[in-house]
Amino acid sequence: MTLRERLDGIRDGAAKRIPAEARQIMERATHDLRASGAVDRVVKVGTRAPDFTLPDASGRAVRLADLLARGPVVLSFFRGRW
Amino acid sequence: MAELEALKAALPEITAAGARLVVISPQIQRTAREPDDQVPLPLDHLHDRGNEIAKRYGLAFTLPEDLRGVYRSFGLDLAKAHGDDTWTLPMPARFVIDAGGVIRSADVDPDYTRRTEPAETVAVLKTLQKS
Repeated sequence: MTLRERLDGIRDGAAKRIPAEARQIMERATHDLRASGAVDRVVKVGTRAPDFTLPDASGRAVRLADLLARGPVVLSFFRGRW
Repeated sequence: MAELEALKAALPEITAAGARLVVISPQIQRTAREPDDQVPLPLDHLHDRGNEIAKRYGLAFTLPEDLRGVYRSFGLDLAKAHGDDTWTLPMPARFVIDAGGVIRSADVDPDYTRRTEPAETVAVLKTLQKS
């Protein structure tokens, strides 16, 4: 199954499970975020990725620059495990 | 967590392209290792407290008050889950960064149910190998 198919399933499931009023608030928030132009303020292709140091699950500090010294990085931001 | 699962499934191809997968979320990690991962996967899972790095990448947004109410009605207290009370979240995003530190692809969508297929990301990595 592709990611798109799985996400479509999640969207359909949410449509059935979540009360209409709550769903409207969620959809409006997404719409407002899109309309705000927030996406235009995201760092752009062709520019340098901001460096950072963050802890992993065991508390070890991981620095982007150290990883890039070994090769390309796929960097994924997500909301959380819920 | 469909996207994380899909990225994990694509790990062999990401690794074969010479790249490292790094996932960042504001949520406190409960366990040092995913319970379903018997061997550590070749990825870094990092905690971005208060979405400070997401802010630097232009991804952080503050949840409107009515949406906080919806999340609370789901039993989801972001302040508790994140260990901070900012009620911010990152817009879901995926970047390919080349070894020179330059962003080569950026996939961002405010709607978390619209995400780029990992295969497209792998395709970008393969173009880096050729160049």
